[in-house]
Amino acid sequence: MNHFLDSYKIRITVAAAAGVVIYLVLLLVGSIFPLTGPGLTLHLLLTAFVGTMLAFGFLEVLVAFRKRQTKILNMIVDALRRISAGDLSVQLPETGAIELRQVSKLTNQIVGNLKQDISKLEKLERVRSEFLANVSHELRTPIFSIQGFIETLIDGAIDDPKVNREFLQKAYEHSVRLNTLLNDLIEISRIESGEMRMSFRYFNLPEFMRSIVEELEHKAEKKSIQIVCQLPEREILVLGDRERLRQVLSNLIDNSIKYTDDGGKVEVGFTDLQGTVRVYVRDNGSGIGEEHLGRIFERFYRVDKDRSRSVGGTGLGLAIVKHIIEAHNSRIEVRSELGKGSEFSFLLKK
Amino acid sequence: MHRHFEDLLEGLRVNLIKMGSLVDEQLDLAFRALHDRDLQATTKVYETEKKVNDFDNLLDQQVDEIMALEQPVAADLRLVVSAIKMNHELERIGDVAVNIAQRVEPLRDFPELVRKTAILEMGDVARRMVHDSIDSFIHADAELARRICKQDDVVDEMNRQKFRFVIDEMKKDPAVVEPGAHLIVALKHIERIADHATNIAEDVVFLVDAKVIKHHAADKG
Repeated sequence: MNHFLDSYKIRITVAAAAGVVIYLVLLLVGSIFPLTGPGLTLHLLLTAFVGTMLAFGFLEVLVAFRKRQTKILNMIVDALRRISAGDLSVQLPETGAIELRQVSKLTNQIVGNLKQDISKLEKLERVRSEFLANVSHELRTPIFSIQGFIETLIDGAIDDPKVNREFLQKAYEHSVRLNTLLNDLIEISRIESGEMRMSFRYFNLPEFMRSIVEELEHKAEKKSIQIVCQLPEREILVLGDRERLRQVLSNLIDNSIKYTDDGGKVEVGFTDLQGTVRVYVRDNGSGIGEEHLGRIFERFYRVDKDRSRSVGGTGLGLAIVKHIIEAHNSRIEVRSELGKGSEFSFLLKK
Repeated sequence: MHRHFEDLLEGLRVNLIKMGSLVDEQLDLAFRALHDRDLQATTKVYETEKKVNDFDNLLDQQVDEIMALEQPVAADLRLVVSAIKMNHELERIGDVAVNIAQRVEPLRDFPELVRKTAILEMGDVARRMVHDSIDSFIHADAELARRICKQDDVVDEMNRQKFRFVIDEMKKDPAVVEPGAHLIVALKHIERIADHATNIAEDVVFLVDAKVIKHHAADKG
């Protein structure tokens, strides 16, 4: 918006008017207090001229300052227009009057926050898309297998006593796998949406661990794997959600059995520490390469895709384990060496 | 707040959770014994009762010590007052679990009557209420506690229906009069469990929100 002082002519006129006013005031003062001396009129005129120059200088500075602030304000308005249009590459210089500096600084901060939020949302969207792609792929595999076996049976294999039972058995196994996968998916979505409430109770850890090992012993026996579980007879109470921890330990022991060669050994136990216990499951199985260790708790991350599917893994087990342990204000830790074995452990409060 | 006082309060909280854990397990055992007609499981229920009683005494002592030495105020006082009341309710639930376990033997030869009455369905609701009330204390979840209070009416209604059903069965067949009487007693016990769970939930609302909701006090404003 234009100001009347922006005109050069007006500024000269105002400065000249100021000089005339000074001259008149001095004349008035001279008539009240009689002033005498040589060259008085010249002196008064000179004073009025200096006053005119000073007034002109002051007006020039004022107008220059105003123009600069207007320029900064216009930059801010322009930047805000670009932000509202979705352009986040805006970066305002933080100069000018203190208020304008603050506005510029805050605008830059808002742009920075928006950029962070958008990048977070983009990451979430990417994770969601990857997750959906993985889920579709994982669901499709058993469904295609079931379809394949049933189609073959319909096409005549049902009358072939050599294969009909075997095909039905395989279709059944894939349906079981499908069910396990869906259960895991429901579980992980419940955990991640915060729907799952932990029921923390004190319970006797040795008794609890023995009951889990008993349940999995027959599975280990099939591979001639020995489960070593030396636990104290005395009662040791720990705080945790028993059913969720049952899921964690079953999963870890089951994994150890799956990835340990026939005749191997799986150790299950805990170390009694001050105020806590460290529960561990270790094996002398195939181990995990260092490059995979940081990622094994991600959903659908598999060290060896073919092997994982062949042993019936859903790719969600360790992600669920991690979530459950974190809900206990603890952290799952893993140590592993290729060809030598792995150890998974976590702390529980006593 | 000094360290010793903090430790005393934390000790009280931990023992309440330990006692709650025991009672929760004991109730689970009692209903499983009734379902499986398992007399061995009833022995475990009686054994657990001794441990529950020990916790009752221990909590009483802790409360006495805190009151006498520390004179707590505000939220700390509410914790101590709630602990006194919850301790009492949990101990009573333990007693009722024993009473239910005592019905296992007389009802052992009448599985069909037990099945038709669907007493375990009512037991599940009451047991869930106890379980959730302990959770609401551990998580200081007043919302959950309020939801538990609403469940009490469901159990009361179930009790009325099942009572009517057992009476009708007894009228039809004199042979089921004796097990029927045991069933009615067991129904009453389950109804009491729901009442105790509701009381614990009300204590949790008092502890967390400093509001009294017992006897529908909240409705009266």
